[in-house]
Amino acid sequence: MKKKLVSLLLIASLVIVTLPNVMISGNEASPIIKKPYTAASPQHGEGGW
Amino acid sequence: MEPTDNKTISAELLRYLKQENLTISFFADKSGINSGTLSRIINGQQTISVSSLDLITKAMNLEKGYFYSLYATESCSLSSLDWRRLGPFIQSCAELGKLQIVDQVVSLMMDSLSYASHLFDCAEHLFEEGYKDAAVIIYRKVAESERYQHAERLALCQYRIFTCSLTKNQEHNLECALQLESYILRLGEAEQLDALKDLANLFLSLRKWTKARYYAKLMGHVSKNLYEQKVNRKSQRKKTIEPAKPLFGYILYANLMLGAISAEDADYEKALYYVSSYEDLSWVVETDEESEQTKKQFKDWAIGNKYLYQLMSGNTDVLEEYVDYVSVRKNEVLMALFKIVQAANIYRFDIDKYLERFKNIIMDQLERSENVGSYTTQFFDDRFANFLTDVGLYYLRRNNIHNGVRYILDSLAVSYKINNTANIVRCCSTIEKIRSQIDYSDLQKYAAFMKEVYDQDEEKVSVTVVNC
Repeated sequence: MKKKLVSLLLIASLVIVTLPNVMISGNEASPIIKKPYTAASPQHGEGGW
Repeated sequence: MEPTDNKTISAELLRYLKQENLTISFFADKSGINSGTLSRIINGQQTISVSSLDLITKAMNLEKGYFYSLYATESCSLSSLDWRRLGPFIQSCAELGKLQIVDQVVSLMMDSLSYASHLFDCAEHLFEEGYKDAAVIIYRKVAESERYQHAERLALCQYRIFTCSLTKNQEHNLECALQLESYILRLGEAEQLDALKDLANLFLSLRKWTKARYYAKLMGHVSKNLYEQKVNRKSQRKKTIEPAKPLFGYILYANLMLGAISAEDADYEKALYYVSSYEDLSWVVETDEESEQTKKQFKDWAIGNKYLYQLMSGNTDVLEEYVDYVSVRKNEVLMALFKIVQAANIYRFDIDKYLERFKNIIMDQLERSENVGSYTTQFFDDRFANFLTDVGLYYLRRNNIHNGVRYILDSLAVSYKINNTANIVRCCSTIEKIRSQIDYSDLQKYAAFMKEVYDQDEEKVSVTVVNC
């Protein structure tokens, strides 16, 4: 019983520790959140060959 | 004279001869068809070739293609399919723009998969001759009938459909690109390079940087491998892969695109690194005329982009030199202005004299909306719409509200035409932000434009509702 309780606590703490990281990295990976719109302007030759 | 239902071409011809009181031999002379052949056609003993049909139609004083609808029905239903007759018929229909008939004939032919190869070759021929609408119909039918998903022919059909389907509408173009993506790796290496280039160009025009980077890198990788093979191969007899442009150019262009994408991330150091890779061309072994021109073009772009990255890094001292560089290169003037205005908005310097100097070029582009040099329409339209907003913002910053609003309204019109929603939002939010400072006549223009947009959208909604 004690062992089970300990392992449950371990899992719970693991979730608490890792979940925010996953969410943050998810945000970072998403270009939509990071860069909603780019007013692009071209270089010479870009789109021209 | 109207061809009626349940009638055949021979019956129509016979009716005409009786009506005009003409003998077969007289009509044979008039049309230039052998009288025996004509007699057999009338008696239904011989099928008509397209060339004979055109001669008959001409002799009956009817426009070319008058009987094509009837001919399609007869050729595909009343007698067995014959490629020798239907091949030239499809070609003729394509030339006359009778696309519905092309669709009808090709659909019936595709019931037998043995015609897929003939039809594909026919589509390639039409594509080369510029009859793209007809070619796309055939490519679609051939693609639908392709049994194996990994078939190179299927991939080539999809690539051709992509090439022919691009328009000014950005959402539509994105759909075309997404459809091509899954086929691109199944193409033969030569077509694959061109497809990668076209796809990367399109994603650049849509500002999909991640996708553009992926395809530019892939293009660089494939072209580098092929070029190494070409240079190191021992036997000159061995067949080499020949894409549409010089092979080394794909390596250079991949680097140019990667430089442009790095510059979009404001990583000018990396962008300059990429410039050096298409500036030094000592490793290129080709010396023929086309290769020399390609080398010259990339070297020239390298000079322009060096100025441009310095300017974007905040070094405004190069501005005068940069303007001198572009002023003798007509196709590069607008490309330079796009970036100069952006730099002026970031570093807040005065470019009034340059905008005034090149005003005619800007206005010409606005009025005519023509292709500039070798730049793709999709790419140029998008950047031009952004540029007009940037010029508008430049003038607003300098308290020239009237000029600023005028450019923003022009940008709004271009953005609506190409369905660039992101820039539409940018324009509208700018106008709303300064609404209180805009004079009455400009506000009226804005209201009139928005009403036009509203009316057109309402029209689309009503059409959709009716169709449902």
